[in-house]
Amino acid sequence: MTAVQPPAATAAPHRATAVAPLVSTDSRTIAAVVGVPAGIWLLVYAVVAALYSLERIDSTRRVFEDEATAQFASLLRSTALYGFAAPLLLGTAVLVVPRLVGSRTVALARTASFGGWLWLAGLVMVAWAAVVDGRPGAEQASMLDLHLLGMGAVVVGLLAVALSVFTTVFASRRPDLALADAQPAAWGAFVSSFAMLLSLPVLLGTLVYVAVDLRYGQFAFGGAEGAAGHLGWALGAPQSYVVAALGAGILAGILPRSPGAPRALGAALQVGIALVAAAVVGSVTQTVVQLDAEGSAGETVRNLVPWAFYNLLPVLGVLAVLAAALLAVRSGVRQLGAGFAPAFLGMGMVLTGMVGHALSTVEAVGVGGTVLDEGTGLYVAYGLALAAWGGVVGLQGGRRIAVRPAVVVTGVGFLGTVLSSLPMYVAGFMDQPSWDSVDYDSSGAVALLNGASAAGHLLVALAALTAVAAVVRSKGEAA
Amino acid sequence: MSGALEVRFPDAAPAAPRNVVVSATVAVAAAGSMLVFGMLGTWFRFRDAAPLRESSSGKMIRDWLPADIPVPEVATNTMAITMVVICVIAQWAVYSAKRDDSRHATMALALTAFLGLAAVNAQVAIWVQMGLVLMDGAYQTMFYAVTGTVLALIVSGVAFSLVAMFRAAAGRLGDRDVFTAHALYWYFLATAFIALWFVVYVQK
Repeated sequence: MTAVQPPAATAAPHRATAVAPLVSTDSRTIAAVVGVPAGIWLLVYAVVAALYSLERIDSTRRVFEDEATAQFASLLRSTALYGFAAPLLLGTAVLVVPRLVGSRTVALARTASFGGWLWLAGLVMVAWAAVVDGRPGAEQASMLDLHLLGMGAVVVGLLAVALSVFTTVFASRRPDLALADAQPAAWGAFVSSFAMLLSLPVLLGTLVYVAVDLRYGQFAFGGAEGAAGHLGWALGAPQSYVVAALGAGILAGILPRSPGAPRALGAALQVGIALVAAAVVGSVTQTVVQLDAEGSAGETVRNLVPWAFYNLLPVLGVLAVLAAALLAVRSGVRQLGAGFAPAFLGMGMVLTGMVGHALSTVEAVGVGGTVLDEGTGLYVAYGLALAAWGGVVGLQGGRRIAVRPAVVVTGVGFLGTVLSSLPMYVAGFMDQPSWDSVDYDSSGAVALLNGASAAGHLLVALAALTAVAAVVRSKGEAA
Repeated sequence: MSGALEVRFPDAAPAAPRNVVVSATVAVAAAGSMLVFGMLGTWFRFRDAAPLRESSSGKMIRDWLPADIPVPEVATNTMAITMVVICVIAQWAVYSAKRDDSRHATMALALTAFLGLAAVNAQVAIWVQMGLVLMDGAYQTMFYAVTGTVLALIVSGVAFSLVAMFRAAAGRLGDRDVFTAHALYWYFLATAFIALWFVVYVQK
C-alpha cells in the first residue's frame, strides 16, 4: 500500500509557452488548471460570504442594496460545491493519483485538460450571470440562461476530469497492482469519481429540462423562480457527500502504515470510503429523506430505516476513516505526515456538517430551513477544501510546499471554518432563516453570531490566499 | 542430492495491459445512461403528477400526453429496430477487425454511421408527424428536451462511427479496442433509446 514509482517519463519536455497549459498532458499542469482557479475562487467565495454575513448582522439596516445581497446569496449557493470543493479535490486527485498507481500521467489527459478549462469557463459564466441578473429563484432573471449554460459547462467539465481520474485508477494502474491493493487515496479517487460519473449526469439532465422549459413557455419547471427548487438538490447534501468520499480517501491515504498492520484495517478504510460514496443513491434519486416522528411507533421505525440509510450511512463511513486516523495517532505522532493535520481536521469538519444535516432532516428538531442548513454546507465545503490541502501537502511527499505556509493554511483554515460555520448552527436554533437578510430578529446574540461568521469567512479567505501563494511559489522552486 | 522431488512451476504470465479506451467508454456509457434514465425519472414524476382524465376507451388515465396528439408507431418502432440492427452491424466491425479484414470493417462502420443517420432521420420524422409545438405545455417541453438529448447522443455515436471508419479504411485495425469501444457505445445508445421508446412512445 505504498506509493508506486512511475516509469520514467519518455515524452519530450514541454516548452514553456503561453499555450502550454492549454495543450499539456502533464498531470501537474492539468491539476494546476483546475486547482489554482478553484483556490482563487475559494478566496473570492469567502470574501463574498463575509460580506453577506456582515449584511445580516442587523436585519433592519442595509449595508448593500437588496439586489446585491440577493446576488451574493445566489453566488454562495451555486458555487460552494462546484466552484471550489469538488474541483479542489479532483485537482488533487489528478495531481497525486498517477503517482500512487504507477502511471506517468492521468489517463485521457487531454480530456481532463479540456474538462478543467470547460469547468473554468462555466464558473466564469455562473459568476457573471449572478452579476447581470441571472439568479435562480428570482422573480425576473433575464440572464438565467447564462447561469444554466455555465452550470452545464461546470458539470460537463467536472465529468471529464472525473472520467480521467476513474480511468487512471481502473485501467492505467500498474498491471500487477490489484484494485483491492490500491493505495487508499487512489481507491477514494476511484470510488468518488465513479459516483460523480453517476450523479452529475442526472444534474445535467435536470439542467436541460429547466433550460428548455425556461426558454419555451415555463410550463413545467416554474421559470426562474422554480429553477432554484429543481436544481437545489445538487448544490449541497447528499451530492456533496459523493465528493466527500475523495476527501476521505485522501485522509486514509495519508495515514502511516506499519508493516504489521492488519489487512482488515485497509479493508475497513476501503469500506468506509465506499459508505461515504453510497450517498450517490440519494443524489441520483434527488432524495432528501426527512424523519417525521409523528404517528405510531411502527411508522416511526419505518421512517427511520430510509432516513438512516440516506443520512447516517455516509456519517458512518467518515467515522470509520476518522477512527482509523485516531488509531494512527496512537501509533505515534512522529510517523504522521505533513498532510495529516489538514486532512484530519478537514474530514472532522465534514463530519460535523454531515451530523448537522442529519439533524436538520429530523422534523422534531425544527431547524429545517434555518441558517443551520447554510452552516452544514459551509462545514462540508470548507472541510473538503482543507482535506484537499492535506492531499497537496501530504501525498506529494510534503517537500514541495514550505512548512510554514502549510501550517498557517491548516491552522487559519481550521479556525476560519469553525468560526464561519458553528455560529450558523447556533443561529439556526434561534430560528434565523436561511438565505434571508431581512425577515428575522437580529437583536442580541444573532448579530454577534453573524459577525463571528463574517470573521470566520475572512480567515478562510486568508488561508486560501496563503495556500494559492504557497502552491504558486513551490511550483517556481520545483522548476 | 536429496530424494525430494523439486517441483518447478512455470512463471506466471504477465498481467494483460488494461484497456483505457474500452474502460473509458464503459464509464461514459454509465454516465450517459444516468443522464437518460435521470431524465426519464423526472418524466415519470411529472406524468404521475398530471391530473386524471377519461380515455377514449372509458378508462381513467393521466392527462399527460395531449388527447389529440397521435404517436406515430411506424416511425418509432422502425427507429427502435434500427437501433438494434446498428448494434449487430457494430459488432460485425469488431469481428472483421479481429480478422484484420479492413474492407469489411470499413463497410460495417460506414453502414453503422449510415444507419445512425437513418435513426436521426426517423426522430425528425417523429417530430414532424406528431406536430407538437414546443410552447404549448409541459408535455411538449419535456418531450423535446428528452428526445433532443437522446438525439444528440445518437449524433455523437455517428461521429464515433465515422472516426472509427476512417481508422479502419486507413488499415489501422491494430487498435481493436477502438472498435470494441465503438460497439459498446452503440449498445449503450440502443439501450438508452429503447428505454425512451418504451416510456415515451409505448407507455405514453
